[in-house]
Amino acid sequence: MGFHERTSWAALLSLLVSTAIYWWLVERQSSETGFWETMPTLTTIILSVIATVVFSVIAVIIAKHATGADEMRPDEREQLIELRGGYMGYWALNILIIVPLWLFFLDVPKATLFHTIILTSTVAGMVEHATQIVRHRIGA
Amino acid sequence: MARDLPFTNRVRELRELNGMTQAELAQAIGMTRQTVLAIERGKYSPSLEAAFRISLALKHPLTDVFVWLEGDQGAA
Repeated sequence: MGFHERTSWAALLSLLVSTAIYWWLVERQSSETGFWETMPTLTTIILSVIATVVFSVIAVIIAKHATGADEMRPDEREQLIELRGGYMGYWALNILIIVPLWLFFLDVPKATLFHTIILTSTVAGMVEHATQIVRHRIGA
Repeated sequence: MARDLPFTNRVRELRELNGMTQAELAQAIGMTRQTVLAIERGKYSPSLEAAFRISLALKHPLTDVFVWLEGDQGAA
C-alpha cells in the first residue's frame, strides 16, 4: 500500500472517528430534548474539530513512518486518483445538500438542520476518500 | 471500475529481463511502485512521457514495450 493510499485511509478513518465523537458529545447533551433537536454547544464543535485534526495528524504520521521518502511525492496516477476522489466528493456534496435545503423549507428545528448539514458534509468527505481508496485498489 | 485498455504491455517481462525490481523501475522513471504494478497489470494507462521513460529505462523501443491490440475499435 502506497503512502497516498494510506493517507486516504487515514483521512477516512479520522473523519469517522471525529464524527462518532461529535455524535457522542451531542448525545450526552440531549438529556431532555431528542438528539435531533439538541443544538451542539460551541465546546462540542471545537472538540470535534480538534479531534479531526489530531486524528488526521496522527494517522498521517503513522502512514509517513511506514513509507519510504521516494513515495511521498504523488506521481501522475496518484494525482489522477486524488482528482477523481475530489470530483466524486464534490458531486456527493451537491446532491446531498438538497436534504438540508428541503428540511429548511419544511421549517424543521434549527438543531435538526445543523446536524443534517454536518452529516451532509461528512458523507461527502467520506465519499471523496472512499473513492480514492477504491481507485488505489483497482489501479486508477 | 477500471476499463479494459486497448493495448497491452511487456513491462513486467522486460523488467525481469533487465533484472530490475518494481521498486527499481519505479525509481528510474520517477513513479511509485504501486503505479508500476498497476501498469504491469494493465490497470493504468501511463502518460506519453511516462511511457517514454519506461521504454528508456527498459532499454527497448516504445512499440516493443507497449503493444496495440489488433482489431480493437478505433484506428491504431
